[in-house]
Amino acid sequence: MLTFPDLAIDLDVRGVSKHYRQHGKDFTAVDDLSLRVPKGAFCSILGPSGCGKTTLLRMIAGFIEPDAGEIFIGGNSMRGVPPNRRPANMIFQHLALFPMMSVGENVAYGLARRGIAKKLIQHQVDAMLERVGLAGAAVKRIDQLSGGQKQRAAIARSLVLEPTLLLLDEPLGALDLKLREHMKLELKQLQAQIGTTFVYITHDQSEALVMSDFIAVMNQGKFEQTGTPQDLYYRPQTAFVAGFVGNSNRLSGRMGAGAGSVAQVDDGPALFVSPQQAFPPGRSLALFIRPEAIVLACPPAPLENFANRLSGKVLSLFFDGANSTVLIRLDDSDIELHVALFQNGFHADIHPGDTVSLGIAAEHVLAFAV
Amino acid sequence: MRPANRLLLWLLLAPAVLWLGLLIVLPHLEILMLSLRQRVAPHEYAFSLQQYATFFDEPLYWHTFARTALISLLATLLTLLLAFPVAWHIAKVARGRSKALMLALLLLPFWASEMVRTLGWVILLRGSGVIPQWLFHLGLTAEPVELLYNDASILLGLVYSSLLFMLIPLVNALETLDDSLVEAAYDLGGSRVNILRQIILSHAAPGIAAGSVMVFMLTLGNYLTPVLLGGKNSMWFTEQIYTQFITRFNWEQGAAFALLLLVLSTLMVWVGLKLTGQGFGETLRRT
Amino acid sequence: MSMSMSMSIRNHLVLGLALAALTGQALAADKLRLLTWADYAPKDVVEQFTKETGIAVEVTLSNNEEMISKLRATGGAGYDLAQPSQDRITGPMAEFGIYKPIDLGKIKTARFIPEMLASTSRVTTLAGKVYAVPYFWGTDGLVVNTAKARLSDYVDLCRPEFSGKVSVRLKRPTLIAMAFSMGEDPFKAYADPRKYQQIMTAAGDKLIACKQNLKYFWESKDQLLNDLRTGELVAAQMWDSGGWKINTENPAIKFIAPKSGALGWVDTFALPAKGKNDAAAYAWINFVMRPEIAARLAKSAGSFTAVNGAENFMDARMKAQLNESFPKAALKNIKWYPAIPAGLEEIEGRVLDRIKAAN
Ligand SMILES: Nc1ncnc2c1ncn2[C@@H]1O[C@H](COP(=O)(O)OP(=O)(O)O)[C@@H](O)[C@H]1O
Ligand SMILES: [Mg+2]
Repeated sequence: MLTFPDLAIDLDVRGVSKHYRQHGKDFTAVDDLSLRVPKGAFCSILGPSGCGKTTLLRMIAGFIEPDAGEIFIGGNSMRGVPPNRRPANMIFQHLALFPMMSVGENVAYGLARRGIAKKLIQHQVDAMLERVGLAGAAVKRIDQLSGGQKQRAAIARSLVLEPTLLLLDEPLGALDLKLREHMKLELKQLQAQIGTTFVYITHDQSEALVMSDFIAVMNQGKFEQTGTPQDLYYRPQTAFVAGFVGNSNRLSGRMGAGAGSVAQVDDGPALFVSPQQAFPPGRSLALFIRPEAIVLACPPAPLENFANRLSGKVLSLFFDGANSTVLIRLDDSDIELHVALFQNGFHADIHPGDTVSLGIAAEHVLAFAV
Repeated sequence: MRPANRLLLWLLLAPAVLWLGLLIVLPHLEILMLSLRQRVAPHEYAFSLQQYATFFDEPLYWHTFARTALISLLATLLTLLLAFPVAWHIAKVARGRSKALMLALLLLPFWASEMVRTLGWVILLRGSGVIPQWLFHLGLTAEPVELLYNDASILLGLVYSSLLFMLIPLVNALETLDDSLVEAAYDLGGSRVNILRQIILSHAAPGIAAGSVMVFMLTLGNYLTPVLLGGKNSMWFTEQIYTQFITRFNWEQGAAFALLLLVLSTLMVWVGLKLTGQGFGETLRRT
Repeated sequence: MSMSMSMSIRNHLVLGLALAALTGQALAADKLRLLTWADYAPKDVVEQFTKETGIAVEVTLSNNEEMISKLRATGGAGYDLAQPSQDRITGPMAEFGIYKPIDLGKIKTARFIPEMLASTSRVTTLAGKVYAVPYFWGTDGLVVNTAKARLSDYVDLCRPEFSGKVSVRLKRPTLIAMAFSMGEDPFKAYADPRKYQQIMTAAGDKLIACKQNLKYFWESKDQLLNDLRTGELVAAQMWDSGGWKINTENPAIKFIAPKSGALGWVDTFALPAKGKNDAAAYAWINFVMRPEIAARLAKSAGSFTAVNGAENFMDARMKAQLNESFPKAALKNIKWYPAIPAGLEEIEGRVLDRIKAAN
């Protein structure tokens, strides 16, 4: 786990668990989790759907009482504190804007509950709307806003209360792709600007990677790894993280017997690998190779600098601008690898059926026990 | 619109227009005409406002009228208060089979006719009936007390026979309430009372209006319940109308009463909808 | 819609209407639509009539006011034979024209008690034409649980010890009965509206003063008998057959003729103005006035028929009950309802309203 020695901790989750009964069996949705989020950080909890993210977030917000463990926000224990008195606010998956109120009334709702004078509320609401780019929208009805504007209105409604913590439950999930890409950047900028601590949950690794200061990767109620986006991407510590964060070619194989780290890919070549711990010979392994870590030579060339040198045939080409890849079948095996195509003109004339050489450094073949 | 299309539209609308005209407009016109005449001799009638004058001159009539309106209003309010928590439970708490069961239980009494349902109350409440006997045997009363034949028993009967008509629009309205709205309000610092008022009631307002309008009109026009449960002091306006038409052979007076009742119910519904900020058309669509 | 389709629909409609008209007519030819009181046309008698004559009977149960209202609404159509009380013939006839004259030639008049036929004819004659013949007669008096209460006249219902334990109907007979027991003669005042108003007002005042004694104004006979049975009520104003019915179950509960006189009514046969099947109506009248049929009817209804010699075949128990309730003098003292002149009901109505509203 990361430590942040010189920063105040806004959220401190200590050994929290939650069990449900499902079909008569006890089921652990959140399993003894701990997490510390420093002030001003953008923290994401990333995991496949059903892994317990929402349950965790709702425990932080106060809608669910944990079965074990304790949660501190801004240094104060939240045991027994109801949601309406926690210094944390939540952005719901479908935003939950009040359709019976105008945009301005939505944003004013929380302030009015605090008994603040009308004039002051008006002032704060206008300022907040302006800040999120909704100046003048106060009188609009909710259904007059576009998807992105609704997003901002929901955030304004929470942020106007100046919470210690803003909790976001997949708020971009309902948006179309283009808007989602745009809102990712906007959210990150907004968070950087106002400095409120964000806890953001998502199953979309790209959202988490782009926005977060650090990410906790969650699987089946547990954290697999916590770290910066770079840590997770380049130094995954578990097979799950390596597979879940970013794209990878996944191969299965066995640890070789000889000296040096060589793994025998099932029905494929032997590869020099970078084992994440010491494995006894014969141990089954999962091997992960990122598409952009594979160097391609077309026409074939020796590629002497690489520990692993392979040859294969282009099966198909997936053109996607900067994310273009080719699918290559290795000679003498059924193994297929995705390889990134760099759009610097090098491989502009590559075609299906071409024979190519591949080079992979040993440190780019990550091996995990399975 | 092209003429052919317009013709088609009229053809499609014709049954509805006919139905409205024949079953609703015409009888009411007839009632209006009847109410505006007075018998001068056998088979001889003259235009007159006498029937309306009688209504205002005779305290019994307008007392009964006002009483009927007030008790109907009270019954509507009580029905709403009783139905709301039940509707909430059905819409938001109960799941799957228990929800279906609850709805079935609510519908069950309506398989019997109103007469039978009301007589059920008579059997329970009458002096020699079930409840007074229990109270007596439990030592709570010195002798079996007559629980029938008062305004409370009328109210009880009216509320009971109205519950379903309030519940259905309420359940419908509450089912469409997104739970996350309530949670969001709670999260933003809303108290229970405020959430109820600003989020839940505000969302359910069309359902509340629809249910209340329906219950109020049904109650105002109810005849059996007040007559059977109300006893010697039950004064219900529909009973007056019945009496005028059937036992006094005074159709003119009865017609005037019927028209006054129609005006009252229209007026009350209109005022109620205005007060709750609901449109009439919107409410009709939900009933 | 295509042309041929609309044509075929029209043809079907025409065919359907024609069929409906045909069958309607066919049915009318052998169907009697009878508007009457409960118990006046029991199933076994109807079945026997249908078997003998081939005429089906469609019975609609009602009471005086509803009969008149129903006939008035249609101008006298919808029924072939009605059975209002004899005081309800000339008034409604003059006002609404809902009956047609009876052809006594088509009735076996020899089967009727002559005095009764004569008096009914007198009461129901308008402009020289007779509109009704008698069927059943009976009286209104008091049903008393003699084990729990002693009373001899209507005014006694108002004695304080009967608080909450007695009942009357909120109808004109109650006002008239109360007036008689207060020493007035309302029938004599029928012709004098001012006097009648005065008598009715006094009777109304008496009932208002008495209102807290009343458990309720009864509407349903069954409800009343039930509460007499359970002892919730100790006395009530009611008609004789109801009283004798409960007397059979519990001898302590008796029907008594009040000291001021029981009220006598006669229910009749009258032809609705637009009845379609007079022949069936006459057939029914002659059928039910056959002595052996009348005997069965009298027993099932618990009332007396206008059939000549009825006392010869009267049920023994009923005879005993009649004798117990009506000593010779009481029988003589029965006050028979005369025809109600138009306008009286208006006076009574206001008084009844006042009673209802009083607290
Ligand atoms: N109230 C509940 N009762 C039973 N099981 C639940 C309940 N809420 C959530 N779960 C289960 O807990 C698991 C985690 O759910 P959730 O936290 O919503 O996951 P995520 O948000 O990561 O998709 C799921 O398997 C879900 O079915
Ligand atoms: Mg979720």
